[in-house]
Amino acid sequence: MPTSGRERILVVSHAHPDFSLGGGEIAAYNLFKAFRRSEDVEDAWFLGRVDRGRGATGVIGKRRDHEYIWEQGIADWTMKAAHRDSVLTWFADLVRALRPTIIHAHHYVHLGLDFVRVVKQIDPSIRIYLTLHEYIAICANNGQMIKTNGRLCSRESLDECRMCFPHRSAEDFWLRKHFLKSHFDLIDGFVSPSEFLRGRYIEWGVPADKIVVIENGQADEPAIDPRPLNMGTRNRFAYFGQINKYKGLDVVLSALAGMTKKERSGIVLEVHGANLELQSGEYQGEIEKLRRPLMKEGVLRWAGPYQPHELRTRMTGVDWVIVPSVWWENSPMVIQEALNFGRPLVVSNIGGMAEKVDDGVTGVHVPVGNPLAWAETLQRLSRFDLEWNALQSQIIKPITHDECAREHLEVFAEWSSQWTTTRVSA
Amino acid sequence: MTSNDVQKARIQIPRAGGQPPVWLRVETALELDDFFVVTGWRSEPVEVEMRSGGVVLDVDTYLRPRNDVATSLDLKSGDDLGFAIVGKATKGERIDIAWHEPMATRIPITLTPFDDLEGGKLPLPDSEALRLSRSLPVFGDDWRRVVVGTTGRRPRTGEAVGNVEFAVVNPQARDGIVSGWFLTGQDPVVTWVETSSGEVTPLAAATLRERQDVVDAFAGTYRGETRQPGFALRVPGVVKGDVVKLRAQMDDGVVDLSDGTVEELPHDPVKAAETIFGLSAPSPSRFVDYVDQIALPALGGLIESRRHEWTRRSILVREYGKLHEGPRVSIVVPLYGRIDFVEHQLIEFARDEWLLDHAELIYVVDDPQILDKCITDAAGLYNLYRVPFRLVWGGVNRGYSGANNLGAEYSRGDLLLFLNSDAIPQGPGWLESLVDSLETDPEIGAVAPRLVFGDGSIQHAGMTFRQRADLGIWVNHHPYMGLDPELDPAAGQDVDVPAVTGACLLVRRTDFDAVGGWDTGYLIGDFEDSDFCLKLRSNGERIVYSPATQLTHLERQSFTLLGDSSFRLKVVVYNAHRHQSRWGTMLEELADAN
Repeated sequence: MPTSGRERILVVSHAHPDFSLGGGEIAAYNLFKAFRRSEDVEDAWFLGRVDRGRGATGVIGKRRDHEYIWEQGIADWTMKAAHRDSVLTWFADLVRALRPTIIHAHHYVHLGLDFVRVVKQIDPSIRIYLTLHEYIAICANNGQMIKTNGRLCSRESLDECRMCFPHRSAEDFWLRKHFLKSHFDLIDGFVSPSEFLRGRYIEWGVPADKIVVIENGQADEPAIDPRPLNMGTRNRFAYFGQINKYKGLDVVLSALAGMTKKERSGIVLEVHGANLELQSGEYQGEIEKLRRPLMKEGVLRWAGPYQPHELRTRMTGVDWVIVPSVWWENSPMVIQEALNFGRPLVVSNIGGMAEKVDDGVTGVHVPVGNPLAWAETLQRLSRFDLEWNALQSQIIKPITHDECAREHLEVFAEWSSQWTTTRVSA
Repeated sequence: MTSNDVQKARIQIPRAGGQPPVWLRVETALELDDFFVVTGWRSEPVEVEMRSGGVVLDVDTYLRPRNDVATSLDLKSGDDLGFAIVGKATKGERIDIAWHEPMATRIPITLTPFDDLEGGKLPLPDSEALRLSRSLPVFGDDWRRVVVGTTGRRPRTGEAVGNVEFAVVNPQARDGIVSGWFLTGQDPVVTWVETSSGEVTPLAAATLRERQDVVDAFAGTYRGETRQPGFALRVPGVVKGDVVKLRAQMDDGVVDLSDGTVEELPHDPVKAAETIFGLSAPSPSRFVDYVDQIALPALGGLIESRRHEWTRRSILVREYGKLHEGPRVSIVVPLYGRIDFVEHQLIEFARDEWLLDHAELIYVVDDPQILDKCITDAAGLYNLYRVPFRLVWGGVNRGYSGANNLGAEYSRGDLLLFLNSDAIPQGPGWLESLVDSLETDPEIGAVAPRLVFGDGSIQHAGMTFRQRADLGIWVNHHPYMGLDPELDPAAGQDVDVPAVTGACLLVRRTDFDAVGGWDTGYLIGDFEDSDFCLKLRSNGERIVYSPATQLTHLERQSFTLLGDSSFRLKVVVYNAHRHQSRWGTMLEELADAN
């Protein structure tokens, strides 16, 4: 039953930031911390899935006070838990012992969805909310909504999905969706960091009144002063984050490579990127071929990976943050961070990027995957300061972690007031 | 002179003019049903005739060399000294052997009944005996006595050619099938298959088919036959190991074209069908005749004995969770091949309160390959979904009907809901609504819902019957299949239909018992559901389609039967033949009514 008093919230995440530094788990962890600080929350815990190199043993362990880790995984592409028995035993024990009123889950990849059913069997009055970070339920291609031939995809369809995965049948896709959807049916509410992702899930089958948009919170820190200019222009662009074929760094490098030497001499691109070494040899080779001459010329500076606490320093020296992804994105963390630190953005004109950066207000949109358009845009922006000044002055700071937690609690309370749940056999 | 003399030893026939006498010896004098055979020799090729009561009989005389005679009598040549005379005679008739030169002579012959003959064979080399066979009515008793068990000659090039490719027998029915091909150089040639136990089956009874490979290889040399050279012939009375021969009657005897050893069909009817349907079976348009004449007799006994074997198998029953004490409905789901559907059904059952309160669930494992996995997964699935169920394994694959019957046997509900494992409810309430439909009228025998494919288009909206003239069969037809359910003329109202699918079918146990459950005489499964509905119909029950209830059926799109000569198509024809043999009149009436 809905509580009239303060909530007890168990945050369940697909990863623990001590072990993995993706945007989703960082957001989940920060939210957990903010819940802990909130007066409306009696208590909060964090359960992060981890991989300790010995597979999905199902074992749950204490990380530190209020924090647990769970060696879980997924059994197959339908997001069944790899270690189902531990959902029924150790996970159930944890839930019974903590007596949460709310379980707020982030993601379901790595965790599986079985825990949702088990929670409702333990106590149907525990409300389950799920924050969605990508399109895994909708798209079997890593939840990217990109076809396996590289084209952007707008919607799922049994037969078209089968064309991306010829070894599967349309029935296989039906069964996958049936499993996912029937477990989504047991979830009391969904949070999406972007309107774009919310729309895609509504189209897929999540009821519109069960999914709201709440942006991820940011550290409560002041903006950084603009980079001091002596003689130069606002010509320093920076790329932050993972490097993989969906992130579009190759598009921007191609744009630079396609310019004349004179054209690009006034531009500097910094790449603060990680995990290139984990990509396919073919992709690594492609990036290597593009970056080598540009680095030699001094147009490209390869800064390498960074820790979250280093981001502020790294952004200090640049004017623009670029997000050239060739997939839809949801709400890229780097956009919120750039806005938080007062840096205008240059982004692909699709999905979560187009939504989070207002073209001509807080940044500039560039046609997705088009090196010519990127070349033109980078040259234009690096030549004059006027546009940068206007955009920078219009940036509004994103919500803080505490504001984010407050928004969640308000939505949870509203949902609780209309709370109903379906019975599952128990 | 008495007959005994000439039949015991040679006799001397004097000649005028001081010439040396002629010697005569009758070695055999046999009486068959309508014919006699007299063989022997004389020392000079004088003309011999047969008389009865003074009348000269119409006979065939075959001459042959007797060098033994020539040697012992010191003659120059043995050519044409031996004779065999075959003539028509009534039993008990007095026969004389007679000649005119050198002087008219007549000696009575004592005929011995053929059946008394030791060894049952003419005392002639086979080649000689078979030459006589031409004078006997083919396939008559005398002909059989002469021909069966002999060794014929090899055919000459251009005369006849043939091959026994398969010879199989059903171990229960002793009904063999021999198949192969045959071509001759002249028309018509009498051909038959002869077994080592003496059964003779004329090839005229075979079903024929084109054999382009044979025509390509031999038609230039063997111009006599314009008909189809491929044959399949039902041959009764054979057992494993018998040798069957393909033989043909020629002017000068019998040729042996080919032979083969009889092999036993697999005991499993489906595997046996694979063998039988793969033999020289005709094209789809005439396959139904093959079923009628060849396949049905050969498979019938196997299906019977398979059914009998089921009763001897011990049944494994396991229960997961606490099943309903007095369920109103028993849901029976046979499992074969894929079992990942089960979890999807449990997901839906778990959120259906009415179902949990009123139904028991029985999964019948019908596939030895999945038994271990079923048992391994069952407890985990119960622990996760908390839907109690009973797992039943009948020890052997029984097919859709057999598994359903077994499930019914191990269930307790007054109502039985037969459900395919790939039929998945779309939400709660479906079972209750089907029960409501059934109970609106005690005359309703069976109710089935609308089924849709994964893409939402209609898979089942009742079944009708269609004649497939091209195949010579009646088939079950799924009207409106593939259409948007919006276009279903039944809209939301229950309607009477000729039959419904067995993929999701509700029936009262009393009615189920009254018709003896699902028929297990079909191969693999096609017509069990219509057969079941027609049984209910013939008991005066109504069959109702209830479109207000809808489930998803992940069945792969049914094949169209067009241009298909696969095993699957042959199974359909086989089953259709059985179906229409039972329900022909009703099928026509129902088709007319539509």
